[in-house]
Amino acid sequence: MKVINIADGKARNSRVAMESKKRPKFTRYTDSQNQGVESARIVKNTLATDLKTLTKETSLEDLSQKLIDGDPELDIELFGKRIFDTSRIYLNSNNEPAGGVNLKELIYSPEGELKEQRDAKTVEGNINTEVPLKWSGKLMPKSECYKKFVFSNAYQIKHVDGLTFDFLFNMAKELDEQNAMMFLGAGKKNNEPLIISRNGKQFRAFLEGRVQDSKFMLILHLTNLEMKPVPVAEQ
Amino acid sequence: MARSLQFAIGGQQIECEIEKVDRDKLYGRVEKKAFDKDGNECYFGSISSDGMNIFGKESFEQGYMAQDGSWLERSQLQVVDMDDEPLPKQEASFKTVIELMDTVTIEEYLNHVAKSVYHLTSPELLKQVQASEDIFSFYFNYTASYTPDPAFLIENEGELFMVVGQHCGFEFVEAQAVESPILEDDEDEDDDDIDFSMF
Repeated sequence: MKVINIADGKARNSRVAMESKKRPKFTRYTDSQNQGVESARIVKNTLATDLKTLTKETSLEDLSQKLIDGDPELDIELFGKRIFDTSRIYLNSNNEPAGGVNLKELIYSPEGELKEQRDAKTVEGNINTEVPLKWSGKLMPKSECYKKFVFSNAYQIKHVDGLTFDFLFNMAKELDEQNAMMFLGAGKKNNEPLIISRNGKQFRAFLEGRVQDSKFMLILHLTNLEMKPVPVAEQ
Repeated sequence: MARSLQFAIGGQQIECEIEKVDRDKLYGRVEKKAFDKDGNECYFGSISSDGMNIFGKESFEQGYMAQDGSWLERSQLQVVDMDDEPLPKQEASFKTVIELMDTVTIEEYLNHVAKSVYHLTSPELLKQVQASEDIFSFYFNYTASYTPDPAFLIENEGELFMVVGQHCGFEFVEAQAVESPILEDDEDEDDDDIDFSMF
């Protein structure tokens, strides 16, 4: 459950709950007796026995003979062993642990050309900051909005107490009555894209509200793609 | 080469080429890469929890174990649903005819998030979609699988798209159902993406 600082049409804000609830597919593997099975990660090789290391000082032809004569590709202690916890580590092109690692961002054009290279920066999330996400006043009819944008993520916004129930219910009711979705932006001018988590993707956001008797549903739809074909020259 | 789907609607069969709408080809992309102090590109490997072994990119394999600890081949496995009923493997949609019989409302469509989007080329199907008040929905399998995804036909500015989605499971909430939010750590997302100028 995340927290979002959101304002309504009257510029009153509150911190409320927000959750993603993508419905998983309820399937699992069983054996022929309908008994549950467990998936396991097993070791195939280590850095000492992978192709790159084995061909460091030996040609592929010579390695072929060594594979016939012995088992240099096998670590007898580890091969086939089940492995649980591992941590990620940077390795250089020689398969050695790397030091002084510097992260860079490489920016490519739609044609795949490298346009820019820059040091990677940490970008903080912006949905729960001092500045609430404000209603932009830009309403788009639902019948238009769902066609224009591809919504690749969505969160349901929920109340955390009785007061915030009324706050969110009224927001949902207003949007429901107008049958429209509200563009929601971050930042002081509420025109910046939303970033849900640190170093996360940037999304444009639309708020949808539905009301059923005394119940409501307030959904934050996120998009970073317009519903349009890729130009032919770029395919 | 573009692949084709066969749709059936009102006794008519329509063949339709599909092309994935690739975000990278519309807006470009950002790749995050790591370099060591000498400027050589690095990649992620793994280190065992005891620190004794380092593994490369292709050091592991996934396997399946029965309850008695014996290894199972993939061909020995079956897929069951939540009621433990075996599920049949369903053919890829490219090998079948998709019957367009069901429609959903905009709200039902908005209960899903998009996993992928395809541009469809078929003037006949475009006309049918434009004439429908609701949104055509069906199940789509890119490859043969046990659980096809819900898919929808959407028209925008004279172009036809197929949105392959995932249900979000949203429900109406009432006053008594109060959430106690536990603030999640603001963990890094590994996805790197470029900003784009939609507005």
